[in-house]
Order: sequence, then structure tokens, then C-alpha cells
Amino acid sequence: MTEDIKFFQTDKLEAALELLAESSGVIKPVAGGTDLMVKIRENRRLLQEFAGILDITNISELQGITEEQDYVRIGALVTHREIIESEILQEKYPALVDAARAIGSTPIRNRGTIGGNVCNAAACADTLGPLVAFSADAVLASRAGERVVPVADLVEEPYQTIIRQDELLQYFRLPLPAEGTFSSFQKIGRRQAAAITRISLVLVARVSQETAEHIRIVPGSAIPVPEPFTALEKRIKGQKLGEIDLKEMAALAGEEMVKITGERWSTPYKKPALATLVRRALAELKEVAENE
Amino acid sequence: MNKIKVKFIINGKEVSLLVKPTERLLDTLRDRLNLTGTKEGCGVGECGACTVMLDGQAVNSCLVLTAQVAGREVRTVEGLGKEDELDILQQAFIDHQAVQCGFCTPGMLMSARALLDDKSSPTREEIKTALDGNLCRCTGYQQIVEAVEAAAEAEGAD
Repeated sequence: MTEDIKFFQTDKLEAALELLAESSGVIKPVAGGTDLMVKIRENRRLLQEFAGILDITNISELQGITEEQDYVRIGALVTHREIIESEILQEKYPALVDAARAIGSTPIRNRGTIGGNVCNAAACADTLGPLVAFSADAVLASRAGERVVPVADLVEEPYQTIIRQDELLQYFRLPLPAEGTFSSFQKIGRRQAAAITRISLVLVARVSQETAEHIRIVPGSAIPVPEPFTALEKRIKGQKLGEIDLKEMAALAGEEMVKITGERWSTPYKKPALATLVRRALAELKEVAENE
Repeated sequence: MNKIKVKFIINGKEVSLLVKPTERLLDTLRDRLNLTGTKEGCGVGECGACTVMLDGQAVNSCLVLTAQVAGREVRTVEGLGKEDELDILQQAFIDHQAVQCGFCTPGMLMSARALLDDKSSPTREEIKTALDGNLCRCTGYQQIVEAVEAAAEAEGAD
């Protein structure tokens, strides 16, 4: 088999975008490689789909975590380790930090990036849920200019995003959370370390006078692409948290999941598992509200 | 076949090689540089047998393209200790019977070295997290964690 592909490397965003725009074949961007290298190993024929590989790890415009006027900017190249160690993110978006902590293993977290996690777009991508729950936007760069897309609209189906061949995911914009915002990430895997998420849940809420004024509940792995459980959110919003029936809410989450996926072979497992995560997240939220 | 010239530091020495675009760092180390201490287990980043340090951090060398390490610093198990002297970690692994079949040991050592270079007195929990990408099917991990704890203590006393 011929693997006549080219390897490109640049530290300039403009040069990378130029290459993507000019190439007649597919140029595959690579950063940490923790997904791509596994895919190539599983199917070497995949390489025939690429005209080249573009190493983007040295492009500074894709790096770093910074607090701007009304949002936090997370570069696509930010590794899971950097997320875990970031004081800004620990303070403002703890559910994202916990999600990053739940990914793979130490060497995977050292290499894997948030941009890669999102672009790979697996149903079990741990950072997707928190990004959607925090209403993050993705900023896509191309020679034609910038395109801003809510992360919630980025993934069409598992492993398929709307990012064009000539575009690079440059960074995420996370709106600054309002005072008193609570967030929680829950996950079930087969074991603690290096476990693919079987099912996860992100809850982001703003509580005032024991009532959830704003609430976002986004499951992971349970449905093909991350989308909020809007019916569940509607039931909780505006209600006194102390009066919420956890069991009822958990059952409602199960119903919403089935509405999206239909009854599948895994439903008898996923329904109660998801219910447990909903109960856990809401119990945490109740506790926060009580201690307010 | 397109080849790329890559220059990087391996165990303190600069090397310059022509590599294929899809060549894995693991293969470069083992097959071209004869650094066979680094092992291949699963090849998909789950077992940690191929763990090396890249710019001070533990990484799975089976998931790194050699072309990507241009200008960077790679350290393998051969780069631990000195010619006639074991690294404190290696000695601690021996003293605590943390080696049985030995296949996971180079990877374990590199994950542990990356941890101790970053944190001089890690907690037991931090040690376990640092080793969470390294599988061992013999020891049951207890001796390995104890060895890393002992090494951290000995290094702190230095």
C-alpha cells in the first residue's frame, strides 16, 4: 500500500489556512493525535483519504486560556491537562474541569486537546457536554474570515461536524457565568481510569432564593450529539429546589432520552443509569441552594 | 515516499533523522535508535507500556508522530540514572519488588519520573493519577505505588 501523503508543519495560522484553502485533497489537521493515531492504526486505508497531515501544535493563535471582557477564551490546542490546571476554569467552569479530569489517562490528558475532542465529535466526547451547557461558541478560522458557531450546532452526527475542509477550529468563547452559577459533571465508565464514558451528565444552574433561575442539563454518550434536556429543564426552572421530586425528574430524563434515541438494546441499562446521574446532580444542586 | 527531516533531543543528545510522515515515535525509538527499553503493548494508548517523556510530560509514544517532535526533548527509560548508577526510582522499584515480568516497568518509571520532576512530594492519590495510564498485570500496583512514594521521599531527602 502506498502512503504517499505529505506532512506539513507551521507555526503561522495564516500559512495553515492558506494550505487548507489551496489543497485539492483533504489535509488532516493533527494536534495531540490521541484519536487520529488510534483511527489510523485501526484502519490504515484511512490514510488514502488524506493528501496530507498538518501539524498545528505550534500555532500560537490556537493556544492558551485567557479571560477577556465578557468571555473566557480557550484555544483549540489547550490540552486536558491545561484545563485541569487552569485557575480561571476551576473557578468559573468546574464541570468542564471535572470532565477533562475524567478523560483517558495522564498521558492522554497531556496530549489530547479540547479542540481535538470536539472535532473528533464522538458521542462520548467528555468536553462537548460542558461546552454546550455553558453556551460556548466555537470560532472557526478560514482564509475567508471568521465564522462563529454555537458548540451546540457544531456536531451533526457522531464523528461529523459542520467544520469545512478549509476551516480550522481556532478557539472557544465561554460567556462569563453569572454570580452564583453552579455546575456539576457526572460520569459512569467501566472503571475509574482510562475509561470511555458510558453515560455522563452536565448540569449548569443559577440559583436565587432556593429557586433555579437558569438551568441547563446536557447528557453525554446517552444520545448521539449533545443537546439539552429541555423538557426536564422547563420542569425545574422557577421551582423551589426543595420541592423538587428527584425520582420524578430522573424518570423524566429517561423519557427524554428515549424520545431522542428510541428504545434500544442498551435502554434498560441507560435509563436507570441516567436517572442516577440526574438524581446525583440535582441532589448536589439542592445542597448548594440550601447552603446559600 | 515523502520523508521529513526531524531534529530533536533524545536523552540529552541531539539526533537528526529522515522519517516517514506517519512514523510513530515508538517505532523511531525502537527500530532506528535501538532504544528498545520502551515497549509496545496495545498500540492504542491504553496500556502505557510505551510511555516516554516529551518535554517533561508523560506521553504514549505510540500516539505521537515522530515528525511532530521536531525541536522537542524526548526522554526514555535509557535516559534515567547514569552509566553506573540507577535512578532513585529504578532502585526503589527493585527494593519494593515493584517489578515482576517487567514489561510495564519502563512505562511506569517514565510516568513516575514525570510526576516527581513536577511535584517533589506527591500524595498517594497524585501518584495513582500519574500512573493511571499504565497497566500492570502482575504486581497489583501496591508495590509500584509504594516504590514511587519511597523514591519521592528519598529524593526529597537528597
